[in-house]
Amino acid sequence: MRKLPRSLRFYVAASTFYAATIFLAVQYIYAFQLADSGILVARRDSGDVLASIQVVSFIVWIGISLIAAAVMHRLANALAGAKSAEEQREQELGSIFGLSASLAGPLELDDIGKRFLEAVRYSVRSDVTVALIVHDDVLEAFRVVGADGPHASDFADQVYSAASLPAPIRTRVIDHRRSLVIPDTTASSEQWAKIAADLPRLAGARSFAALPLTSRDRLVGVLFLRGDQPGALVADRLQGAMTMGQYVAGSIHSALSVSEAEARADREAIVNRVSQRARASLDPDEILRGTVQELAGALGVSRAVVALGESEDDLRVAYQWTETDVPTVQSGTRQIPIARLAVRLGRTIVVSDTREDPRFADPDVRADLIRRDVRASVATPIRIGGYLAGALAFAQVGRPRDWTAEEVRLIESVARELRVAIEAARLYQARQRESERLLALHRASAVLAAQTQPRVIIDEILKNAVELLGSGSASLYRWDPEAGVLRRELNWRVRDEQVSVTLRPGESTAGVAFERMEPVVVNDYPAWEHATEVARAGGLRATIAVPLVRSGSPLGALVVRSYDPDARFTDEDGRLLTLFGDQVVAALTAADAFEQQRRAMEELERLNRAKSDFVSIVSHEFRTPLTGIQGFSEMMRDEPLTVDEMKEYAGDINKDAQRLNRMINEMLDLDKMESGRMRLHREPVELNHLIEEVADRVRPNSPLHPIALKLDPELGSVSADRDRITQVFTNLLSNAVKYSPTGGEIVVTSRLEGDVAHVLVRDRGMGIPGDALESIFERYGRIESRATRYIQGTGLGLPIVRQIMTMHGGQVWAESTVGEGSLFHVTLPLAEVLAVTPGGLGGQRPPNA
Amino acid sequence: MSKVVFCEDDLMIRKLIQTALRATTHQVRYAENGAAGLALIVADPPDVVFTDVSMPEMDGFQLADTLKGRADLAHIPIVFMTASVQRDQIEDCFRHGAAGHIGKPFTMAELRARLALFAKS
Repeated sequence: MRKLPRSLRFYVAASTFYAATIFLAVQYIYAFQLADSGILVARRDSGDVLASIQVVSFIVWIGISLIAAAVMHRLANALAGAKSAEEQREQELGSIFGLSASLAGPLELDDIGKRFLEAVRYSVRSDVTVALIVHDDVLEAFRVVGADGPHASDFADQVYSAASLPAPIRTRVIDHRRSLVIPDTTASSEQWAKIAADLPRLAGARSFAALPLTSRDRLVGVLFLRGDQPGALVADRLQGAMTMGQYVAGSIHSALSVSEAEARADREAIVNRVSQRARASLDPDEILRGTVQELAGALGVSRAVVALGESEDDLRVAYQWTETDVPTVQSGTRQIPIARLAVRLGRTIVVSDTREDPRFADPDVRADLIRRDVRASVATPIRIGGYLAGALAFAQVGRPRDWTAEEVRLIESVARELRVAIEAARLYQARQRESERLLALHRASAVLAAQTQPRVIIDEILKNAVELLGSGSASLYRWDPEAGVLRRELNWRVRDEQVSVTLRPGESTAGVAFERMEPVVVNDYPAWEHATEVARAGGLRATIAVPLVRSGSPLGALVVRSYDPDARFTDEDGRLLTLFGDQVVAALTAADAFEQQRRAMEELERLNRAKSDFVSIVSHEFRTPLTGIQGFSEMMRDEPLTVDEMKEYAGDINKDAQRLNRMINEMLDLDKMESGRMRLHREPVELNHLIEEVADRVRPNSPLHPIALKLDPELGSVSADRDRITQVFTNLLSNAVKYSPTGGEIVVTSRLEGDVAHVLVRDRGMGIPGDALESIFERYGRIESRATRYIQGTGLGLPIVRQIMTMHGGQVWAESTVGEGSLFHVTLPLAEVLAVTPGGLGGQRPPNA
Repeated sequence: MSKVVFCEDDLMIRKLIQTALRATTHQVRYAENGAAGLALIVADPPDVVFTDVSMPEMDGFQLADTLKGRADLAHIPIVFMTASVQRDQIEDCFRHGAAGHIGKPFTMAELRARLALFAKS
């Protein structure tokens, strides 16, 4: 549009020119018409009047023109003024429309801020700096979205929490949502001082305004304006900015809602995935692994850890994820102080910079954190039904980090989901374990029922225990009362170099369980006070032992071991193993009973066999004298005999009858002695003298066997039953004769050994096999062989000898080399002499006894 | 007249047999064990051998086995006189080539009848 010139000179000149032109035109037309009509006379006097009238009218005309020029000028001016105000309004409206048009459609908050600030800047003086701050729900604070103007850099990336804003702004702008305008900061110095104190970067402002941006009753942000000249910002001039603010507030609101919704959706997506995983899997490890990885990825942390446990000190790392090059933490939680703190306080702990945080001021903790360069961390406890289950912890290595409320909320939500997952999995596993346990016990019982071999039963029990507890090896230790040690008897997958063969009570888990008679669970074996070097060196990590108790007395212990560094046995495992222990005791008891029964049966069978052998031997032996008795008596009855013949045969019959009688007496004697019905008639017996008598009696019947006596003269009297001791040596000597059929010297030696009389009878006979040296002293124990079959006798000689010696408190035993001869030892205690008849025999006691 | 050898370690039984057979016309020789009996048999092979089983040095079974192992003596019938009278023990005797078995105690009539059975008249 062409602009109208508004100069007053222009209007004066124009109106003067106009007036002169009109005047001359009128004069010309007037004079011409006068002349034409003849009115015009050449009269001088009338001409003068006319000329003066014309001059006056000209002056009047000029005056009117000048007035008109002034009026025109005023009018033109007014018109121009009105036009420019309209234009400005149009311009502002254009900005507002442009802004609102540019805000149509979804926009990032930063874009909105940029366009808004551009528009606002256009509506204010150029020296004004504008800054937009919005309320960020995630930060729970106001953050600068953008700034424009000479001091824009003062606002860059600033965050103001509601509490840190100056009181005048807080109450007026934020709480009451009214604008605050300070046209001249020096004029309102008191108020300005408060603001400058909290916002020192604004201290240099000479003019300031803070305009609230509200949308649907929500304060979404504040527009700060800063002027370098007093009066740069006055309420009237801020109308446009305020109007634009109203437009932009809605957009900011939408943008904030969108970003919030996005963040919430992201969070919910992660939480949903966690809960889906938790529902899809019953393996807590798998759930933890997946969750921790996902969360670590979403948060972009250096390390993520799930620790499980029921108390601060019980926490152990169940799963951890780390970025490449970030070292893992140990399985304990000493290196995760924040997890411990979160567990102790029962709430989420957020640390932006561990070096600044007073909660980690402990020098050791701080030193460790610095060494590992952990700068920021966050941890939240995982609780199940009021009980602690563990903690979720994240760490940032190498740089401090402000954890946003959104991130913290995400971590807490995941912890809640995890809680459900852990609990569900725990319950499922507990159930699974329960049924596995029942199955294992059932299997063990089935074996127990089907097997009589304790070895097989216990092997099966050990195998089942190891499989069920998922550990390395198992052993059964049995108490050896004679040696006073626990002896390892049965094993499952035991490597000998890793495990002790014997343990003393109180040593290692088996020893402690045995001594205390209660289950022992050890999870850090190397550090345990009762650990053995062998097991420690063998790499034992965790172990359980339960005592094997029968009728209140311990039989031994059952041990299960694990060499897995992460192995961890619980008291529940201990109770489970106790059940296995009971099975073992039952198996051992059954096996013992079975073994006892088997032995009893064997003994009975042996006795039965011996008895029938005895009957056979006796009947065989009796038949020989009976043959004589029957034959001779038959002849006496049937044949004509002389008296001498009669007498001779009767004598033979008598001899055989005596022989028979002797045999019967021997049997009866032994029976009496064995049943304890025989009494000894003790008297002082000179042992050497008695031996000489017996030798003299045997010699005539054994011409092939010279009997040599080597008797110790120091050997005095013993208190003994003379007849019985005679029987002992008679039996020993006649055996020596009998069992050396080819002859050979027989040597009888007596000697005093302390307070014992020791007699030895040596022959050069056929000898006795080693395995028969003891059985020959048992009733019916004569070794039947072709070589001895012909030897007559009931086989009761040596059993009788042993019985007699036992009754005298003495001993008899034999040693022998087959083919070279035998040596029989007899010992009689001399002390017995004094004990039985102290008065009568005291003097006869050998001086060196 | 037949030739007979008796092997018996028990003195009383040897005497009994001697007494019982003193009236026969057979030539009877006695030994106190298998070894002595074998010597008598080899020196003059008899028509029949009566022997105890349980004897020192060489028992009746060993004697029987030795005789059966020698072609010139294998034909001589052997009769065991033994106190072992159980069935399996008697079977043992026949397994060693016995021609007969006399259980102790035996009657004189039985002894004479067995002798008559094997001795050539």
